[in-house]
Amino acid sequence: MRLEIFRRAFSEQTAPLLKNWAIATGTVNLVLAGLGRFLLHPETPSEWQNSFTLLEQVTGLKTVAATPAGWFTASSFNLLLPLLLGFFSVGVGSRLIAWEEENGILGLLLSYPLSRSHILIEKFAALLAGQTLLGTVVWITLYVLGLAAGFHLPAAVLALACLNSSLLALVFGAAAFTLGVVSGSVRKSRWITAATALAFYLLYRTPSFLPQASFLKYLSPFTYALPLSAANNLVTGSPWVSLALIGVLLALGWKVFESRDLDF
Amino acid sequence: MRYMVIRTENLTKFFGRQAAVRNLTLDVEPGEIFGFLGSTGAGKSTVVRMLLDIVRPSVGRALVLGLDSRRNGLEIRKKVGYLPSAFSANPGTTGAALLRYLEQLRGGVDYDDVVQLAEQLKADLDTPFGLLKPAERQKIGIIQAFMHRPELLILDEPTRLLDPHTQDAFSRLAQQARAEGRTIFFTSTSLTEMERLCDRTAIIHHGELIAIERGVQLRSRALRHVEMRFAGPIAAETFSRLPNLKDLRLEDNTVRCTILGDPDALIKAVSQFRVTNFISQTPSLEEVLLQYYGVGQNAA
Repeated sequence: MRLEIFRRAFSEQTAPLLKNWAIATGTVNLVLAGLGRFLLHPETPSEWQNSFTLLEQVTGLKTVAATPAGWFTASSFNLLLPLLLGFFSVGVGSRLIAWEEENGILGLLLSYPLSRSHILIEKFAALLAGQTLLGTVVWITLYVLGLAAGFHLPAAVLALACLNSSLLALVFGAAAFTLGVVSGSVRKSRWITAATALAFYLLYRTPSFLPQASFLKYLSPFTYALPLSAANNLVTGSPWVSLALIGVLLALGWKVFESRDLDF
Repeated sequence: MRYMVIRTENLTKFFGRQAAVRNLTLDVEPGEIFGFLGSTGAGKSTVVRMLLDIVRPSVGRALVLGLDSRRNGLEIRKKVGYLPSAFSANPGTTGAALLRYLEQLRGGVDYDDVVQLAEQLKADLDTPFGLLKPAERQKIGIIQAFMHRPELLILDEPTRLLDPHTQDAFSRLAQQARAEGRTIFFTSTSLTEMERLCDRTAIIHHGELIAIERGVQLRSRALRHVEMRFAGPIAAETFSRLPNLKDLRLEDNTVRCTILGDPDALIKAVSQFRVTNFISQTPSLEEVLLQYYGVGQNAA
């Protein structure tokens, strides 16, 4: 076996979206770097400093330091990147198996001498590769644009933050992938994943709008990946909860895929 | 126990509470072309998918090439060529790229065989799949099923979308495979096709096996609605003594009737008159099933 399914899933179902999303995230990072440079410039009028307070309110972070690290943590890692990376992950994950089942391609694949586990692993590997590449693009563009803007973001810390965000996005990609495996429907897997992500985000933000129920935030994977602490450096949360959730979702998908009737 | 290429034992499949296939028991012998005839929704594709472990039986089991379809699916699929009822691929892929991909998934395929099959079927391998007509897509499906010279070919309605010329080419491929000792199991909704191609045919209706007929028997099950117009009046006795006519009606110089089986006697009987028009229509499979097997009144 020479990873033919992986190659095809990557080239046909991942790469086209990856290209567009790499451009989109690059552009967003460019805008954020430019805006950050403006806001952090000593000659910028003081009323613009209110932007950091506004970011605290929007993201729920305790304090957003008026530093490059604070700016990128709040505007990018806690706000726009989870959205951008999450859309990519869900968009790709929901299609990998379900689209092929909807279009009658999966039945043909299953008539070839390949085990279901094999198909599942190679398909998910295409999502993993896409997510890794997109995370790398984000890391490189942030680092290069940061340098160009006169910021000195440590490459290793930036890489860890990108890894954390990518893993969080991959949790929802894995959810969409598994729901596609379970339901055989792209639409169902996308909507259910989107609704679940929204519910988890609301749980994550309970300290902001329902302080007495703030313990509910621990039910959300956002809490572990993007802790609502002070944003004064780029160190974000722990990747372990995201990794564990991805593992559980894949195991569930594998269990269902192995046992259910397909392509009927 | 005698070796059978396919053996099903009480094969049953429920989708929810509805039985798609019920207690199907049949044997397919090595080297035969075995037809699986039934209307749309009769359960043919479900049986095919159970043979390949794509759909799992609720009750019973299937042995394919002597192996259990559930436990040895991988081994079975190495030796089987399969054409699904709706062959599909990514719209941007050309036939050539798709076949290269499938060839690599399969392994051990001589690409010269692919080229030869494409020539025999006059398949277009250069146009993206999404731009191909359904008949052209089906040709690519047939090529991928035959390309590794499998011991067993399981083909789900292979000729449904094909033009008569390609149907002939497919028939030749099937005959050639049988001559090489390979076995073909294929489904169809056409009785004519089955009687022309198959050594034996199983007839399935609403998930249940109704009969297994040899080709000759199936030929005698042919049913035709015939309308003939004559140059002048014709006596009713000419037709009434023919044993295999029913629904006979005479109006002016026109005769309408249904022929059961061979039309030879009718053609000989009318040959002494001048026939100005002759229309023969093949009835639906449901009508044939109702006529000969007493089923199909409540067909879905």
